[in-house]
Amino acid sequence: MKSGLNTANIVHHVEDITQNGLSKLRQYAIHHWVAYIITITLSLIALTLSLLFRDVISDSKYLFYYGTLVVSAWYGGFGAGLLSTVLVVIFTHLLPINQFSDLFAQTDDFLQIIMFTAIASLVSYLEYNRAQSALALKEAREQLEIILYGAADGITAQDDSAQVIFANEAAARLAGFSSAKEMVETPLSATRARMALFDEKGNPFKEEFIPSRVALWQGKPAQAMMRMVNQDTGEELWVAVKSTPVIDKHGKARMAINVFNDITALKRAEAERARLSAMLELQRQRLRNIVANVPGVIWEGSGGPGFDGQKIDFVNDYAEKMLGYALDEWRSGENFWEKIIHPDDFVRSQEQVTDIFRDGRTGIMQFRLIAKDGLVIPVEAHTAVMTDKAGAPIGVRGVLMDMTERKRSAESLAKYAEQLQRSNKDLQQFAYVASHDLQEPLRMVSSYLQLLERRYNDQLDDDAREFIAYAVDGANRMKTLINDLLTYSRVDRAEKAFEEVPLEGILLQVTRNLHMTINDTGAEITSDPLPIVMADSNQMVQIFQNLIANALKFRSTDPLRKPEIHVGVEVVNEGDQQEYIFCVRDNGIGIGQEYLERIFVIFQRLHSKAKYPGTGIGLAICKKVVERHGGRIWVTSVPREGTTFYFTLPVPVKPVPIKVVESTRKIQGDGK
Amino acid sequence: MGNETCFEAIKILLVEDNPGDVRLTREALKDSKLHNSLSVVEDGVEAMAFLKRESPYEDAPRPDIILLDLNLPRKDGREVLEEIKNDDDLRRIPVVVLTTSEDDNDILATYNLHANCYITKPVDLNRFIAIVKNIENFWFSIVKLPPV
Repeated sequence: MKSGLNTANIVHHVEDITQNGLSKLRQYAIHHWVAYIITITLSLIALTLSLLFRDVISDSKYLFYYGTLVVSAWYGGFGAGLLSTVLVVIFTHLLPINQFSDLFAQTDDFLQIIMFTAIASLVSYLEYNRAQSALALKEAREQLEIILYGAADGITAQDDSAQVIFANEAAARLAGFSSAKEMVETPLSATRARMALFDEKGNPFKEEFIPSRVALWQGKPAQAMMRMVNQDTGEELWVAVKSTPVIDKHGKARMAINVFNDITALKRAEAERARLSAMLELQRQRLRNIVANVPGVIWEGSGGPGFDGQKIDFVNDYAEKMLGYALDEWRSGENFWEKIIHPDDFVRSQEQVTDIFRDGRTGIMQFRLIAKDGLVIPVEAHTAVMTDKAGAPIGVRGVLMDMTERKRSAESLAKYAEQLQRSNKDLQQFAYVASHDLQEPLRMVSSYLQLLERRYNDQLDDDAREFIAYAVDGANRMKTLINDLLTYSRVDRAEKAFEEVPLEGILLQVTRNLHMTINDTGAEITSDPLPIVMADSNQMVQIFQNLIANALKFRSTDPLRKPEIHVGVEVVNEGDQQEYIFCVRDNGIGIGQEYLERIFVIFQRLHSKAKYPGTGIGLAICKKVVERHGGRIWVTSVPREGTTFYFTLPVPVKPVPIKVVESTRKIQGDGK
Repeated sequence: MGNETCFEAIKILLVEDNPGDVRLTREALKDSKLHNSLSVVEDGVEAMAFLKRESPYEDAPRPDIILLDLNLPRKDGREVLEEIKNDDDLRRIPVVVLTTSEDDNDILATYNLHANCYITKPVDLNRFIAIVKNIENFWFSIVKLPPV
């Protein structure tokens, strides 16, 4: 409590009191003419008495002057004493006495004067005494006040009606007053109204339990902790109050003395501690839950370096589930590990743990455990060393995870991969065989039929020639089909690694490949600036060539409507990946809505071979290539207006920027 | 030799196991302008014997050009090619690989073995005849062959 106390104030107070001391009065008197007046007055009185009783005191004419002298000296100091002495001498030897006896002709008058003087003096003295006592009391009180003012605790005194009759500055400030004076002057009701009191539970403090009331009404000391809320400012503080009754001689409590101790800081610290403790407990609970529910064994062991020197101190509940040994068995003693680790793995894992312990690090180990029922369980162990404050290893802790599932799926994956590889190889061989051994007889059929025609042309009639034509044509188509099948099968088997392929270049190549048809049809091919993608360049040629060749093939039957083919691209966000959407748009004959899915199926054709040649594999190949590159392909079309094929390719993770030449370029038929 | 072949026959060695193809080749050569003589062997072993003039081919003429099929019994065309091109004497003879396969791997392997060129036999007869004519034209009218 820091109220108005400071060094300057205390000094001032002390100075005051010194100034008002008894000794100060003396000093005051000494340096003041009052003392001399007193001296003179007393001397005159002594003279009068000497005159009156000169017959009685004839031999001791200084009798009355002794009193004068003493008083003068005591109150007046050396100066007054000296004056008194001088006056005595003057009065006793130098004054013509007889001349003054007329003054006292009337004994009555004389006596009255004496009486008056005496009484006056007595009254003055009593008055003076009283003043001195009051002064002494005030000084004593003020000294007490310094002591109380300096006290850090609030101290109040309440009378039996609980009105505050005394308060120090500390108490006044605690109670929300600006000074002790104000507190004392405020009636009880106002004081009560100023501060609302609450107990530790937060309930309003019942009056009969307030310590000062207990002291006053029950006459015994009491103490309590209260929370005080200032109704004017809203300020809150906690105080510890001790009240002691002052019992009078009848056994009744006349006064209660209260000491207030500001414990706000203490209380706050306590609340904080409680909060942290609750948080800690919550976290502990949480951890306990996690540890109990993790599907793995969490363990801690002290000692080392190897398993044989270790004792398991802690292990979670899962341990029992995993191996069937009770938790107590885990913690039973040294070298439980040897019991549960597969004998073939024990030495190796022992070495690894020893390394972890010695090198002070963490490690991942794999070994097998044997459950209580004999089941072998492969585990992956993440193990770490535990060190003391100095960094020396004191134990090991870790997690064991059941690898059975993981191993099983890894094994089946490996087996599946192997199967896949084998079947791929088989397919490859089959495809190769198909390409050779099937072609051979085909060539024989075709070539010899043709030879026949050549050699025996004259001897053949029209029918014969027609028959031969169909046969030869059949063989040719068979060859094309075989080739197409081979191409189709090769899409996925392509061993060429993906690389950065500039599609501008691909388009150029395709237009060169198709330049004859482009020229013959008078086609106009335009494109947006095309990006660079990660792909198989051969297959990129396949896609674009197939789509553009189709666009050229299925052009409008109107000879005035020249084929216009546009290759476009845009970037879209698909989830967290970016994609290019390419389109190849033509103004050809279009495709009916009901066929839009079918055309991607291998060998599906929508027209007769006479009208539009082709095996119907082009789009199937496109689909396969696009899917191999992680994209999708689809088509929209309006019959007689045109068709647009769309396909997507992923944007390379570090996209190479498109070199913008023009927004749309026209590519001429000769590929320039 | 070489361009002055108006009077001297071009000696062609055909290494081919399929008699059908042999006959076709013969038919195609019939139409040619140049006088040619065709020797035929039907597998790789025979081919090497012929070229090395081993029995029974002690009197075999040294061919001016070899038409080689790849898929042969006993000794494969690729082996024959390798042997020819490793032989100091025989390697100068142009080897035209004439085979059914269009496979990129085959083509690559063949050129790696230093074949002079690789031709795929077409299904269509007319095209086949054209190819044979082109072979003759190219190798005997245009190209300068090494002096024997």
